Amino acid sequence: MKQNGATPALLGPDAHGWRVSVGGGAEQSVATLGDAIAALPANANVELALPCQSVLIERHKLPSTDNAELADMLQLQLEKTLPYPLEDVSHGFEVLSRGENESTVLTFAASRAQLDTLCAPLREKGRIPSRITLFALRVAASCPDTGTILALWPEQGQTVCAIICDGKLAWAQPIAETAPDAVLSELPGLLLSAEMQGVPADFSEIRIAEEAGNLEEGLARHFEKPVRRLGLLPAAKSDLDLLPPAWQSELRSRERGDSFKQNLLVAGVVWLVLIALAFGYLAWMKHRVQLVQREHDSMKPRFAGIEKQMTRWDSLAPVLDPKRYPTEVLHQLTKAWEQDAKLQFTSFNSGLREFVMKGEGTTDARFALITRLKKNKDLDGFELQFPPEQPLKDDRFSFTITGKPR
Amino acid sequence: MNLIANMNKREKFLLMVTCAVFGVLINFYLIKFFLSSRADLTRQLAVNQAKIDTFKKRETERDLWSRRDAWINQRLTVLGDSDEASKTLRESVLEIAKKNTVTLEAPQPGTPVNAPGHISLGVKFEAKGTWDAMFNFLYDLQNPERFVAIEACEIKVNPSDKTQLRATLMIARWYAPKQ
Repeated sequence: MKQNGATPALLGPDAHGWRVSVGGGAEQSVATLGDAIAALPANANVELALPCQSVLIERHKLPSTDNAELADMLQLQLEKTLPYPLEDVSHGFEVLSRGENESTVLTFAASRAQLDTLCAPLREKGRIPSRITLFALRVAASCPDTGTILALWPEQGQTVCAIICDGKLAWAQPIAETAPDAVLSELPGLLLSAEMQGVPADFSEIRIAEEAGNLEEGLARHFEKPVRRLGLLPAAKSDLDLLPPAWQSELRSRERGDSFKQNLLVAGVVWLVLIALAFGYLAWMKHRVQLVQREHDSMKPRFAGIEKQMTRWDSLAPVLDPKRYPTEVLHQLTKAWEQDAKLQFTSFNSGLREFVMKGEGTTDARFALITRLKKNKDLDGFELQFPPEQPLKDDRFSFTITGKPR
Repeated sequence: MNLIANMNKREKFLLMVTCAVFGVLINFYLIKFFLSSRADLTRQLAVNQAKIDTFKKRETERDLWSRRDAWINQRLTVLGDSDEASKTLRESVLEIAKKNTVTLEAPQPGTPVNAPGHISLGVKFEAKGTWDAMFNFLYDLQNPERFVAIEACEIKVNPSDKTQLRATLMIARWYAPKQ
């Protein structure tokens, strides 16, 4: 599915097929809408300008000047005049003129079924137009804002005849011919019917498209008015949009989907970056560990001698280090012991790798003794352990204190 | 993409839930792997750094350990006649006991024992005395210059007279190992 993005693109009818214009650039002619899709960039915001034959255009005079009221009135009017149910039609209107109590409006209606058929190639490729207008409105926008102009241009093998009043499309009708004689023969009758609908028919000039240059001579002779060429076609001034609501919601849904996908993609990229950073950090840490390990390995031989000396000293510690002497240990233990009369010494066993002292006392006295022993710096060379006390009678307990050289 | 486009809403929802669960599991294992690896590497770094710091500290103590080693070489004598050495040790212990009014009984001379870094020649005694006498006796026994170790010591209060202590002592003189 492709995304409708920021680049504006126009799909409109030309003399034989379709014209494609991307970003206001040069127009390209293609035979079918399917071919037109290929010429559209992936991120194009497509406006489809319908040919005149696909839209039913009617002129109404209604007794209101309020747009909301006009919309309601037109709804009723269209229900009466259209050959399809109103639900199957995309419609819109443009106010041509407002009087004191009435307005003249031009309604545009396109059958949904016809739009479905016409736009099938676009929708199949996921390229729903963001707006559907009428090509004739673009032609009207290219005409001056004052005066009444008769405009003729070819559309897909037909000739469209339109009357533009003060820069607004006032009437349009396709003629099923492009040959000058056939067009000129049908034109008077069409203009007469337009005049009967109240469309001004007093043209100040006539404008034709480049492709309809063969009509110039006949038109000049028939109307005795100047015939000019239509210039570049600007965007339509009208707000008309015949995009069916279902398509609009489909478009919004696709846009949401695209937005979700884009967000998902961004989240995925962020996730990958975070993963890459995390693994990069681990690689950096491993490198640091290896560096430090190498530094340690390179230092190790220089300290082999001192390590040996230290090991030797440690093995002789029981005779060299006074803090390891049983006398010193016993002295430190009894010094802490004698501060509490509730404690009673039982026995002291000592070896080269451990000492065990046993005694009796109350729980509080034992706790206080343990606290004092833990604070004693002279016993720092031992890892003291205090196994659970064993109950005796009269709230007294027997307890053990053990110590192993660190 | 066509496969997803052809799915209905329920299938898409199930696919999303599956992907979400899969994503959560992958992230869980990745985070777990990252945290455990980081903790392991940090620990290794700290351990190695600590070893290097220890080496640097030892560099400043090199002279001290050389002097200590030389001191041990100078003072730790080699065991000659073991009977003579045992007799000398026994006599010196008895002399210290006599000085501190501790009674020694049942001396049992031991035989030389090879231990890592030294040879131990011990004598076992049963000792009796007051608390102060026993403490002073034990204090006088050991001195870094004498290389005497109390390899085993069991001191108990005399149940019939709590001012008296009874001790079983294994007193040993340490000698330099034979080359």
